[in-house]
Amino acid sequence: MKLIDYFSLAFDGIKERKGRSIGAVAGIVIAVIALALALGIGEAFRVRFYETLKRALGSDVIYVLPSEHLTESDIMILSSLPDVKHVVPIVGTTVVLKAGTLERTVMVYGIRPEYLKFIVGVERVEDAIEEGSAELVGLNIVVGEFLAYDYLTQTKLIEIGQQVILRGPKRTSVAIVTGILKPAAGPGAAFINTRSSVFINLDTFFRLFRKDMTYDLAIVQVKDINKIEETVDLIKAYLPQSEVLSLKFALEQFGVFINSVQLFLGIISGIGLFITGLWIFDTMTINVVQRTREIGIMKALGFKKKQIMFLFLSEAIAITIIGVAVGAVLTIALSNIVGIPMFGMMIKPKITPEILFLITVTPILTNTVATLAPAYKASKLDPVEALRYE
Amino acid sequence: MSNIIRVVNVTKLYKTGESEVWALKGVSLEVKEKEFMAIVGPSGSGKSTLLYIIGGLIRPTSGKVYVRGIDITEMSDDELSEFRHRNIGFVFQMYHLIPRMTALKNVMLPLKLRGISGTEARKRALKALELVGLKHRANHRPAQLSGGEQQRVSIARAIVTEPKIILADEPTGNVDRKSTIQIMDLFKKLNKDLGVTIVMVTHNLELVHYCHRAARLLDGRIAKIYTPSEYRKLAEDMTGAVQAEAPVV
Repeated sequence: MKLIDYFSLAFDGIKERKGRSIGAVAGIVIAVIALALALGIGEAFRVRFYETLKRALGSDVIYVLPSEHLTESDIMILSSLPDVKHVVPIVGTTVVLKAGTLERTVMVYGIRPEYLKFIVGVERVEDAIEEGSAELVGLNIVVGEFLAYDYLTQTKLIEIGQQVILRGPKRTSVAIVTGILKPAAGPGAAFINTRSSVFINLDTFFRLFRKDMTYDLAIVQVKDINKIEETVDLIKAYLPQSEVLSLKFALEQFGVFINSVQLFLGIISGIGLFITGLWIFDTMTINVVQRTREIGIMKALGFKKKQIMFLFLSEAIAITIIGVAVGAVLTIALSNIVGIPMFGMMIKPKITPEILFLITVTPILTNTVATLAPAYKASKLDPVEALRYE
Repeated sequence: MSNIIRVVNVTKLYKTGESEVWALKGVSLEVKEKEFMAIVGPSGSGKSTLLYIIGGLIRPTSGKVYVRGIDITEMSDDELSEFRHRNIGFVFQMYHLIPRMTALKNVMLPLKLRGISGTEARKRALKALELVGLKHRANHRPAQLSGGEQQRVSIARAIVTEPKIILADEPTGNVDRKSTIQIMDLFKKLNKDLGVTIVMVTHNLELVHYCHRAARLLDGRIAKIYTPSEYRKLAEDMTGAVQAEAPVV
């Protein structure tokens, strides 16, 4: 018997039991949409987060986080490694910033002035500054925009040239605000909340807050992006106790997380498919009982067991294909309409070919498995008893 | 002519819980090629069981059944299905058409099973319907046809694959007199013109006149095989048997 004839007979059966068939198709449509949108949101989240991560970390940058501190000689050795372009050492501590009525606990970072551009992700130092200048000398400081402005009340909290008090764990100093930093989009944004931090000259920082002149973090930029893995290996060999992170590593770690999230979303929405499978099982079981005499006729005509089985399987597959087709079309339409707010923007589901493949194959497999038992029962019916069935 | 069907000492035991009923108690029968044979007998004598055993729908408890020289009792279920499809056409008392399908689709079904579909299947099915005089009713569903017409559709379905044998179980049991004559004329025509071997179970003794021979089953055994010249005797024997079985008032 030809495949087309199985499906032709299947459609006859579907038409005969319109009510149940429509119910089953509706169930599959809902399950397919739920699964596709859940996976699509996960995918969109992955893409959006990858983009953000790439922007924040930089693909040519390695982060070295020591177990305790990095020394000046560590920085020099890192700088001397082949393929290393820059090493930006960063050191920070918590202080209480007092400026007029404003009093807030903030992070103050010691940095060489020329590296401000690297933190912010611009070409020139001047471009890193929103207002004022980047003259980080002596007790001059640059502050993040969230310290300078109160966006809620639209008021300025700190003026350029204003004196502020930095109260550290051991001493209190008076500093002068020389500039307000732009929002960071460079590699520094990954570990430093630039918008709410204070930046001071590295030498001044050591003098005021850390006498041992050690660093908390080093950002290593490589000359050639293809050499990043080799450089990571070299740094790990030199500083085995340190965490050495690259974009690739972060993406891998994040990929594991996102995969787990997608799997979780998939399982939750997959429950819909499971319920649809139960519905199909129920429908096909009733179907077999209602068509007992028909099965007897077919057996008398010479239908073999596997052909009877495939008749019922093709009916379940036909119902599923209709449901999947309708569900896929609605999913694509809905994916342009629905979305969830995330990262300050509306994330719309991203329906990839892989998701379309999954939402096609999974329901077909589920419903085929669900139909196996009733179809097998049909194939095993005694032909004469089936013919006599009332 | 050679025997197309040979039943050798066939028995059939039905078990229902604790109770056991012997439907056939050692039946032997030979049907020649192109023969039209009737199987008659009272209700419960095992007529239909014998017919279904010949058609491979029921397996005998013991004995052998040879159809076209092949022992069908040794076949697997799927081999039996294939054998039925290739060699035998069934006609049932209750027609057993599929209600949702038109007459044409019902007749096309065995052709689809054979892998013949589309225009060719349609052409052959219409030819079979024409042979039974129902081409004009091809697109009607069974519910829109009379009992006699439904039975003729089922005969068209039985012959569409051009089988060598037709097994008919009380084919006129559910139709009026006019349709009975039409159906029997049709069987006669199939037998005579196309050389189809027909084995027909019936309790209507008038119909045996269409047949070459009639086997009378009684209590699971072949009581006698009658030739046309003995049909008067068959009628007397059957009446006698009925009277013998009737309760004394």
